[in-house]
Amino acid sequence: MAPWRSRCGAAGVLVLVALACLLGPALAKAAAAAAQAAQRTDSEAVPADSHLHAARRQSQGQPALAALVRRACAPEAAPKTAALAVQALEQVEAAHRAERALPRPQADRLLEAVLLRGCAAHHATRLQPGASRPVWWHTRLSIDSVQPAATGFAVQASARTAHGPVASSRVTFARGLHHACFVPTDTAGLAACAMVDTHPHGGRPDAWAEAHEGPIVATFAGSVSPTRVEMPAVAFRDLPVFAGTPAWR
Amino acid sequence: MTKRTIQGLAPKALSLAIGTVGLLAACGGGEDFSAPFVDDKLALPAAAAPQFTEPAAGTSEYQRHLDSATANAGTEFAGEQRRQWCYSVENVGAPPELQNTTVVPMTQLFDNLYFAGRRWVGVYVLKTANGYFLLDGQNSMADAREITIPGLVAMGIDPATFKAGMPTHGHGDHYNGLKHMQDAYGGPVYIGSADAAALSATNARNTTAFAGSPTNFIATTTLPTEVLTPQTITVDGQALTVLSTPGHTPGTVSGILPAKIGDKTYKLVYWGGTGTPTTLPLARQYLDGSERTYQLAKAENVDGTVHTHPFVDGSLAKVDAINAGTTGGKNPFLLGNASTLRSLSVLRECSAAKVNALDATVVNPVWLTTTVEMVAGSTSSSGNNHNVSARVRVSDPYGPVAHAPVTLHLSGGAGTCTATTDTTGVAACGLLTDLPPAGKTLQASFGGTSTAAKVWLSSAASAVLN
Repeated sequence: MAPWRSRCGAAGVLVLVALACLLGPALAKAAAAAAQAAQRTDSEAVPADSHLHAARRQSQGQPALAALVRRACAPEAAPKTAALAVQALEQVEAAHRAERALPRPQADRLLEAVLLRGCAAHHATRLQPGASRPVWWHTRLSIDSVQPAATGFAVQASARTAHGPVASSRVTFARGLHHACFVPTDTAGLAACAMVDTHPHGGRPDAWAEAHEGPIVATFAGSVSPTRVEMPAVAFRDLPVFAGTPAWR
Repeated sequence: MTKRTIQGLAPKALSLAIGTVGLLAACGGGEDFSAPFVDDKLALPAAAAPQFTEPAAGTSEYQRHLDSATANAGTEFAGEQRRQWCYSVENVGAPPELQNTTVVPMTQLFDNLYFAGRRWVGVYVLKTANGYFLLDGQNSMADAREITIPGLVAMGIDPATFKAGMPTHGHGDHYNGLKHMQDAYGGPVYIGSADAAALSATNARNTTAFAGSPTNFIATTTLPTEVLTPQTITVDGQALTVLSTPGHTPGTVSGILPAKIGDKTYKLVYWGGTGTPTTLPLARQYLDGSERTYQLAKAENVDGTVHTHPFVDGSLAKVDAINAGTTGGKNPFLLGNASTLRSLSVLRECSAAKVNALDATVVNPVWLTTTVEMVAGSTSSSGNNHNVSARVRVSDPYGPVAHAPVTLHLSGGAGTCTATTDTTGVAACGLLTDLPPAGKTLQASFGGTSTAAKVWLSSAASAVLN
């Protein structure tokens, strides 16, 4: 937490510029996406202040993050030109993707990137009258329950943003290369299913050992609309490696 | 003054797997042509109504790719292949076909290629100069002993001439049987390097899987997983193309098998691991592998597909047809390159949908198959001067493709011309040649084009001029 915050304080956007410079192809893609997004000028246009309000709301109750938002969203932190503002926006989005690409992305770092992105989108949209970009909402995904079941594990996760539960988005649970299930979240943001062997080997007994390795990984796909994005998220639950068939099978 | 006489439309329009063609020929007299022209008598038949409706604006990326998978499958692959390539994207759990353990006896598919195993998984036997190569190894040592070995004997192949084997990936159903083969006959077993540990003694499950063997590992020769361009292994003098396609497992490989009928060698592409990954990093790799496999199959002008889970790509039905004697004298594995690519384009779209099932924010363009229709004709002057022209329509499953660059190429270096399709997907151009066009092949090629949202895949049509 601390090292990231030190990088992303008042000069956060500038530091992220350097970070994102390492992400050539991703950056190009981001530029295309940002350009596409900025072209949306229809009735669903997102005003600049929506980004500011979302950043503030997502940092509520967290003094350090609130301070980060105050600094990054302040008028004096705004880039001088629309081009620079768009560049800064692309770079902070690339930084978010870079964190997500790590084997175990850190939720707090993702949240900080979302807040900085909110400020960058606020500045860019103010400098580009008529441009519209969806508001990003950081999703907190947690694996709430793992219970032994006949086919492996019964699992439950919940997905929430600062707005509340996220409904109707797919959560995929996986363990190793074989065991998985997926289900959309309900109105309470809950996703629950029983993991099964997605690739059984003709019922061969030793398939069990091959199928169960590593942590349970829950992946929340997120949801996208022209006005808002509930960001994808991933959560992990480490479990022991079973040398043989667990007793409950 | 030039006089043109229409000889008439070809009595039967040539129909290629990748396009349709009409022919028109004319002859005339007078001065040589000074510039190429498009014969105004050339008329394409009315465009057929699109088979599919393009997803509405606002459709999720996930659904856009699933719809594209369906559209690319068209009527040709609307059944099992569309279902199987996308099965794990749309369904929790395994396809029921994976539980069908009925034995498939050793079946000769080509002069040098055989399949044997069970209906859910099996091996391909590739005969080489002095022996044979195995793609995959059977689900168990017992199946290698009881299905592969007797099958080889039945086909007149000495089991002891085993030259090498390669599981497509490090799951037991693909490598277990190779333990028996290596124990009995030696020989290298190739494996993608990222899956090598699965075949080693460090994998606890091998103690059970290899019970009865003095060792609990397979000695492997690794193929570098990190090399994402085609690699070649040489087995008994036979060069085999292998492509690292991590995703289903970290070390999955795909590739091409050479299949012979008489003196002619065909190419069959295999996708090494079906079953889309359930985490985003592997799903991205799986997608990348599907795209590179498509490109490989295109570059190598591959003729068909095989799969070691043979129900996935229709191989099992083809084996059944061969065994039932219902192939109608045509090798069912020889789909042609266009149909092969169509099948792989479905795989690619299913793979892209899986990425979006795990991350709704990712934007990958949809890949759309295309078809080319052509009507062509030639007009000759009284001198040694001929005009060859064609009108071409490029379509995708949703309708005409506008702004598509098309090239006409007359065989024998006799000439080329280029044009770009209009909003109705139609382009036309003409070329002049001093060589008599009769008997020459005119090919219309659309090399593909793209926007941020779509990639239109290449296609072509050709005809022999009257």
